[in-house]
Order: sequence, then C-alpha cells, then structure tokens
Amino acid sequence: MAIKHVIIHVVKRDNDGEGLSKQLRNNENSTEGMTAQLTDGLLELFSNAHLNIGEFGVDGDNEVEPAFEQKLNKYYDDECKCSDFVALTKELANKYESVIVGDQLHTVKGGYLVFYHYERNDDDWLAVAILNKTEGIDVAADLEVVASEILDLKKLHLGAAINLTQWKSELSTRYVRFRTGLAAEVRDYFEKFIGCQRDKLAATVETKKLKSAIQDYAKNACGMDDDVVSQKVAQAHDYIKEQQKLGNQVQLSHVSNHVFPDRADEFTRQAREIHDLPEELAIDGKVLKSYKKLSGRGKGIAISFDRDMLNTTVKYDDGELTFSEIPDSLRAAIEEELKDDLGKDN
Amino acid sequence: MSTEILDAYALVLAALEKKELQDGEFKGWLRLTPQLKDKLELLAGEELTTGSYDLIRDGKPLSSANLSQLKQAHFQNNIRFHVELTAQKIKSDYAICSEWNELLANELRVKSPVKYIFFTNTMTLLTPDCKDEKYVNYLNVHKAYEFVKELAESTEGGDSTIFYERPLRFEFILNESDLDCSIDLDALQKLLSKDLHKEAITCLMCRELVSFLKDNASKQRFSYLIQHMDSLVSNVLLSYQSYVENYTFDKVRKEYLEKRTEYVSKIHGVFDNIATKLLSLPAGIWFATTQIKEVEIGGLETMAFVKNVSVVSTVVVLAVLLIVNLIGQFSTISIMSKEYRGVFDSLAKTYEDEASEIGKAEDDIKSAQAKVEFKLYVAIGATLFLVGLTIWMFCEAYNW
Repeated sequence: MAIKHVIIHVVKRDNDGEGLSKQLRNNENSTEGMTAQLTDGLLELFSNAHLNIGEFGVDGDNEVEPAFEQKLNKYYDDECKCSDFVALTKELANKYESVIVGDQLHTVKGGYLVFYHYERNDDDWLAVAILNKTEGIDVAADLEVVASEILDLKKLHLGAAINLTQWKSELSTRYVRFRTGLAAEVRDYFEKFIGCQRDKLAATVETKKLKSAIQDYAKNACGMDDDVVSQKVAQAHDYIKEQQKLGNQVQLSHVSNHVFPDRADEFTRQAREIHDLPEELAIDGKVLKSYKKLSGRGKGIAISFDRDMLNTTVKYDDGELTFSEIPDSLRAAIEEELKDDLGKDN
Repeated sequence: MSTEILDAYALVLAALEKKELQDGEFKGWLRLTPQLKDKLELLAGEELTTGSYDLIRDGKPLSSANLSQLKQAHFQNNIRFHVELTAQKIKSDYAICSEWNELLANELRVKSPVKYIFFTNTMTLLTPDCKDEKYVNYLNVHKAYEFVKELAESTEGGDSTIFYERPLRFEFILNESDLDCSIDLDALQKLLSKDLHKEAITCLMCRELVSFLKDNASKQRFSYLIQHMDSLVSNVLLSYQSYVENYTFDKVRKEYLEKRTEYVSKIHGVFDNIATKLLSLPAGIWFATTQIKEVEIGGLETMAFVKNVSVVSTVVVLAVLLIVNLIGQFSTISIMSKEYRGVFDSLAKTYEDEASEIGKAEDDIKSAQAKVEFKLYVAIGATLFLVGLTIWMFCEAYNW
C-alpha cells in the first residue's frame, strides 16, 4: 500500500451556530516528508473502522451521478490518473461546505478534510476523511508540561474511500466504503456530500462473502481441516439465525467474536480488507441456507447436520429424528459417559 | 418447468471453466452471455445458485455482481464470473445428483420417485419420455414399497415394519445394480385386491416375506427384495395355491360332516315323528281292557256284546291306521336314503382323497337308518301283538 497524493483542507467551526471557517491548500502535502506514523495512520483509518459498502447514486438511483462522482469523472481518466488532484479536492471541499451551509446545519462542526489517493491490492483508491484534533499533553523545551492538540488518526468518525479501479470498470456496485456515524443529521449530510448509497442487493453478496471469509480464514489462517471449517460455518449460521430471531442487526465483529473468539480482530480485519464486508451485515435467507446446515438448539440439545443428509443418514418422521450414523467422536463420548455410569453403579 | 430447470443446469454446468467440486458445490468460471444469464436467473430462483458472483477481468479479481444488476460491460469476453452450482438437490419434482446411488440412498425418493433427474457425473438427463431401462425400473420401485407398506400397515407396523412372529423392519434404500431387475408385482397386487380370503392372503404374504428376508440386514432387505422379486412372487403364489387347496378340503370335510349330522337327525326324526302316535296303542289296549266285560248271562243280542264289539273294532281300526302310518315311514326313509347316497357318492367322486372319510360318514347314516327301520318293525310287531291280545280278550269274555 502506498499513498500517491495527499492534501489537507479545513472546513470547520469551533462552536455551534458560528460561521464556517475554510482554509484550502494550493498544493499537495508532500508524501515524502510525511512521517511513517501519519502514512500508517491514514492507511489504517478505513481498515479498522466499521464501514458500509455501496455505490454512487441519488435517491436510490445509481444511474444518476451525484456531484462527487461528477468531479471524479472530471479529473480521473480511465487509468485512474488524476489530472489535477489539488483542484479536485478544492472543488470537493467547497462542495462539502455548500452542503453544510445549504442545509443550514448549524451544529455540524466540520473538520480537517484529508484527501488521499493510494494504491492497495493493485487497485487505486481515493479516500476522504473528516478528522478532528484531540487534546494531548506535551513537554516544552524548558520541560514544562503544556497542553497540545494533535490530529486524531485513531478513530474515523466520517469518511469514505472509493475504489477508483472498480468504479471505472462499471462492473461493480460495491466500490464505495463509507462511515457516516450514527446521528441521523450527520449521516444524512455526509451521505449527501459523497452521494453514496448502500448496495441495494447487498444481502446476497454479503451473506455469500461472509461464508467465504469464514472458510478462507479457517482453512488458510488457522489451518483447520474441512470438518472444522464446516463447523465454523455452522456456528456462524446458528449465530445469525439466533440474531435474526431476536430481531438484532448482524454485526461482523459479533460474528467474529462468536466464530473465532481467540482471533476475532484478525478475522474481522481480513473480512473487511479481502472480502469487502461491512460491519453491519445484510443477510439473505436463501444464501444463508447455502451454509449447508440444518440446525436447531433448545431443551438442552444442539443439533446440526448437512442438508443433503436429510432422508439418507438422518430421517425425520412425525417429530422424531433418527440418525443411522453418528460421528465417531460423539459415539466415543457417549460410550465413555456410559462406561463411567456403569463404573459408578458397580 | 422441471425440464427447463434441468436443461438450464446442464447448460451452465457444461459451460463452467476449470470446474471443481468443493463443499457440495460445483465451482468454476463462466463467461456470461445473455442466454446463460437467463439460465442462471432460473437456477437462482430455484436456489441452485446464489445469483451473486465474484468476477475477474483478464484474470484479475475485480468485484462482485448480482444477476439483476448486470450491465452490458459484464458480457465482455475478458470477464469471468465465479459461479457456484449446488451439486445435489433432490426435490419431489426434480433431482440433481451425481449418480443413481446418491438418489437411491434417499429413502423419500425411493418411496416416491422423482420423474425428472439429472446426473452430474454423466451429464445425463432423464425425463418421463426416456426409455432407459434403469429409469423405467426406478419409476416402478415405489410399487414394491407400496406393497411392503400395505402389509406393514395391516400388521400395525407403520409403513416400514412388518410384524409376523417377529418385527421385520425395512430401510427403503437401493443400489444402482438393483435397478437392473424389472419389477412386476401385478400378480401380488391382484391377489391383494381379492375380496375372498383377504385376511388370509395378507397373513400368508407377511409369512412369506418374513421367511424370505429375515436373514438380511434391514438396510439390505429392500434391495434383496427387488433383486429376488420373482422368487417371492412365486413363493407367495404357491403358498396361496396350497392355502386354497387346504381351504377346499376343510370346506368339504365340514360339508360332509354337516350332511351326516343332518341326515342322521332326519332319519331319527322319522321315528320320533310317529312316537306320539305310537302312544295311542297302549292307550287303546288300556281302553279295551277296561271296557271289555265278561258276559255270563245272555247272548249276542245284549248291549254288553255290542259294546265289546265296538271296542274291539276301535282297537283294530286304530292298529290298522298305525301300521299303515308305520309302513309309510319306510317310504320316507327310502327317499332320504336315495338323497344322501347321491350326495355322498358325488362328494366321494369329486374328492377322492377324502372318499374313505366320506364313506364313513355315509355308513353312520346307514347305521342310523337301520336302527330306525328296526324300531319301525318292532312297533308294527307290537301293534299286531296288542291287537291279537285285544281280540283274545274279547273271545275270553264270551268263553269262545
């Protein structure tokens, strides 16, 4: 991963109701002079954040180009080369200001608009992050402790990253990753600024990708065999079903904690980066069935088996389930249990 | 509709590049065309594929796309979609599976055959107009299940357990080789549909099945039954024939014994019918002995003589009537004799094996006939003796 262009503008107000102050740079920030901490911070911003995934569109129509996309079209060629990065970001910063002013959002404080163009997995990305300063403590030359403010690169509150390669290909509906916050006012104005919307058919893609992510991670990162991989997928299936039953939103991080409790963060990160999974997962019931398990839990019993075993190894008849074969491990555990019982009786 | 689905599946599966079977799915790369897109949409509707695929351009991972969101750019020659197709789906109206053994391991589809089948190993599509021998036999397999089920239900063993001296449980699974055997259960079905001997037929079929299959494990029983159906049919038919014959002899035996009882009773009835009439004879004699008076004075002109003559005459008339009646009974016995001899001769001729038993029964009747005839002769003799006694008393009354 490498940052090719970066520029920081500022559009912000200190207190509610005050006018916005705007300061736009006339040239890019030097990537050479950037500290490794800043580079890493910017690149990590979107990796660690809970993101939504979608595409450009207006009021649910992806045929209509929002202003942000129009600017990208104006400055980016088919090879994802930007003709004038400074001019592009200036226009976008002005657009940002006009959205806040036009909608009379007096409580929106704005912040530092960090635009940066980077490359990841051979794809070109353009990211915009709205950052703020956080208070810190420093030591002056005379060793006096002084209050200082630093740019908060730990947390992304508002931001969007556009996969320019996918966007240009016109073959994807999942090229924008964005974080808009939970407050409706903030979410709405930022989505309006970017002109992004969630992938309308995200459920099918995300349910399928979640399964692939679990399988990949279990096999390749954890070195699990096929049976254990299958169990992991089944665990995810059970958990998702449970959440759906409770009416809860399925969260990627929660699935991670449930399926890979010891390596949840690593799995979450990989699922986001490689499989393009957002934090809030949309689940498609039909695809969930392809997790291949029929399962149920309750009354002290948890049962799970492959769908194609129904009517062959597993038979259902009027409320009774009969297994003509059981796993060796289960057989051994039962025999061991019975042996213990017999031992006590004797 | 099922044919369309299977055609679409076959077409897509054939078009997959670098196809591999993994986790119960065929996975491969597909260059999409409008025709294949339509087929995939059909398959997605049937949940045979997700309808959402990762795609690559010039071998480089690009993105993912849903079928409903495709644009013209997706049909470019350098785009490939990573398509997964469910490798096995066995439903009531169609089945997709690797081969016969996979389908025949599904008990539900053995009990209730599916008509539209696609085998992925051989890329074979089977439909009702197909003449494939195994397919034809497969469609008939359920008849064997229905047969077992009917018997099992008659013994209150659900649809898979026949209780006849012991429980005989079936697992309705088969192997491909079982389908080499044709299934013809017409003879057994006809037998089962008979109203006559219905319970007995069911019972003997259960007996034959238990005897035929008891040494096989429950998983192999149905397979063995299909492979040896001809032997079973033959056993059942022989068993039924034997039963019918035994049943006929029983019936005949019962019949001639009933006839014997009937005729013996009838013949004894001949004498019993006139028994009350015979009581009139001693009554008459008693009457005579009390009415005939000894006449010491006077002759034939006296009133006492007239009375004595009338008493004697009454007794004689009574005796004559009684003897005529008794003789008449011989005719009745004679007619009965002709009747039963005819019946027993006919039975003896029809059932030669039972002729000696039939003869014995006939002899019993003849013996009863002889006894009754003897009693009639004794009655006639007694009547004549008592008439003679009355006349002698009359003569003594006049000292003749």
